[in-house]
Amino acid sequence: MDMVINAAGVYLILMVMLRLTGRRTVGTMTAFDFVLLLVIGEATQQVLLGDDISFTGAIVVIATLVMLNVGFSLLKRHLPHLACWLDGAPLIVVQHGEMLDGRMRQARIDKDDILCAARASHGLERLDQIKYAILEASGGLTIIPVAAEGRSASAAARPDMPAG
Amino acid sequence: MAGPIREDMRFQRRYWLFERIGWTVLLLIMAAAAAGTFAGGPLSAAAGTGDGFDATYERFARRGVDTGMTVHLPTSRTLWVQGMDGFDITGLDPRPATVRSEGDGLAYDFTPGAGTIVATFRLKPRDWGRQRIRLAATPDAAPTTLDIFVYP
Repeated sequence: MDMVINAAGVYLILMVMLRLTGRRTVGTMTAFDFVLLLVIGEATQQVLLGDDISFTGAIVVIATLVMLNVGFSLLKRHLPHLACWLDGAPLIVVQHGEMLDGRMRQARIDKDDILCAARASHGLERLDQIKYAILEASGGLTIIPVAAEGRSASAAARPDMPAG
Repeated sequence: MAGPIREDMRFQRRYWLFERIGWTVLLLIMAAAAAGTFAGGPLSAAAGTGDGFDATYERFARRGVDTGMTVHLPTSRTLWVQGMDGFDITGLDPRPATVRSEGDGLAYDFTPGAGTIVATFRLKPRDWGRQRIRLAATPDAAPTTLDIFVYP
């Protein structure tokens, strides 16, 4: 009984805590985020099993965690609003080369994050080559580039660019 | 906003608000822990006095984590304790000469000697919630109640 309640409690608390750390920890992990997750796992391990080294204990805890996960995924199908709260929703942070500063500040991402994603996914160099940058619910940044002809036109329009 | 995705800004703003409130709560938890609300700090230190003894203990404890209680007996050589059902006694110094059942509690008789007896209990809380330990220097004296809150 205790094991099921403890496991459910830890699951729910972790769900809230991980939502509070924002998308960065889960999506684009730095080395430190990874270590943080390991330490969180270590801290919860004791509560879940304590000094219970029995096979039964492990099975009960695993069954509880797996069923909670399945239960929530089923709930989310029926309650889209709950899905929003548990998984987050995508958010546009750059539109037609313009950074939406208020949103970026709230979501704790900066220009460097966007340019990094733009370089990695499309080899883009500047903000004005980006049509949309979308912060996904998963924590990743999706970059939609301006169409090819628009890109060369905007490059030609910059006098400081070397010719060729 | 017209774009490649459908956004729900009302949700997004509420989520950001939830995030800020959540951070505040976590900060408050950290501050409360530092002050001793979850045992081991100035807010947790407590004392109780009775006829013939005085005790220091921790007002807050956590289930499964040792907590201490020290009882000074200047004259009496007996300590009567009741309400320890929610605790495992993991240590008691000095070791009593005899322990006997007395009323609805236990009477610890310490070996007679000169000076104050300082009895140190190590207690491991087994149940969570409010626990009341009652102490008296003799079984028929009016007991003093020590209130301990055990976190799950």
